Amino acid sequence: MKILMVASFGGHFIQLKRLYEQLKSEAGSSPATFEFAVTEKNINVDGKKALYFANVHRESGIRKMLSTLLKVFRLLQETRPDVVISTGALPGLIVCFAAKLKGKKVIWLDSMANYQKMSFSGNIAKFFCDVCLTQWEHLAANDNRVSYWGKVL
Amino acid sequence: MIFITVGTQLPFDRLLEYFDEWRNQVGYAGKVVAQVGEGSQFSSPTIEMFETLSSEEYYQWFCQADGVVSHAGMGSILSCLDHRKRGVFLPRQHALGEHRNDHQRDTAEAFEGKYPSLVFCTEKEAFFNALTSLVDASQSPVDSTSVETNNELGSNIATYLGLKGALL
Repeated sequence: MKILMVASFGGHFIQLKRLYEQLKSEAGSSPATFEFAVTEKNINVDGKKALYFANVHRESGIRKMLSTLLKVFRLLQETRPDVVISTGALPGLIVCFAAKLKGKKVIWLDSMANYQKMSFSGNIAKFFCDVCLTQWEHLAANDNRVSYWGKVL
Repeated sequence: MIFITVGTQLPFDRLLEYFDEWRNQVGYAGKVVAQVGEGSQFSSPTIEMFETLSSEEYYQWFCQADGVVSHAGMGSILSCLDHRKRGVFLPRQHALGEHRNDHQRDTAEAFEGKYPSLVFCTEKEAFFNALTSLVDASQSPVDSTSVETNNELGSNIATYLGLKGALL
């Protein structure tokens, strides 16, 4: 099983790496391989170079979003993951969306920063991702599209 | 050395201005290094400043620091816990145009009082007091016993994906 792990550079990526450490130790003997994609160049995880993809945010405009979506389709074509996992933010949402259109299994993990409500991206992700997770139990209590399975901390 | 960081996205000059005001007030003379964000208007002749830092550069400064001063971003919070650094955090405020929403105030609320080495402040006065305490405590080691970790999340996702108990 090939798992593509995706996040924006910064706090989202730090949470993604922590999730990876947890997953790696749980999936010790199973034939899972991991690949990373991040919005910053020349980043290594576990001695392996992460793929780079463009950063976008809500003010980026539709042209940049669409061109990013096309590039993300190419990235998925090249990496051929079975599963995509993202800790956000909007660039991660775009990868999740493209992956879902290609029939991949997709997991969204909302940032631990979002303690009072899900992020803007998380509130979109919950409508199409296979699993949409928050890191705060109370946020999963009133939304049947969102689950709590634990934290990166 | 105090390391100031405002994260990868936006500048946060209010934090830098508060810091400078505190430093002039108490006469702190130690070295200060700051990552100020692209587009920051802040200037200071005595603070070594970088708009952005690579991951390696960031952790080089981070690990050398006696204390960290930061916006209330998850990256800074987790890095402080990982590297056993004391941290003083000022959340960005939406009303002041410092972020797209107020999630940093929510993050601060979530972490407030959870770890003795991390202090979250919304008011200037509390921030000044926390900075003074940070300098006073900078030589004493951080008690990390309260940082508990478990694999609940990884375990649940691995189970969902069928990675646990898979045949060799």
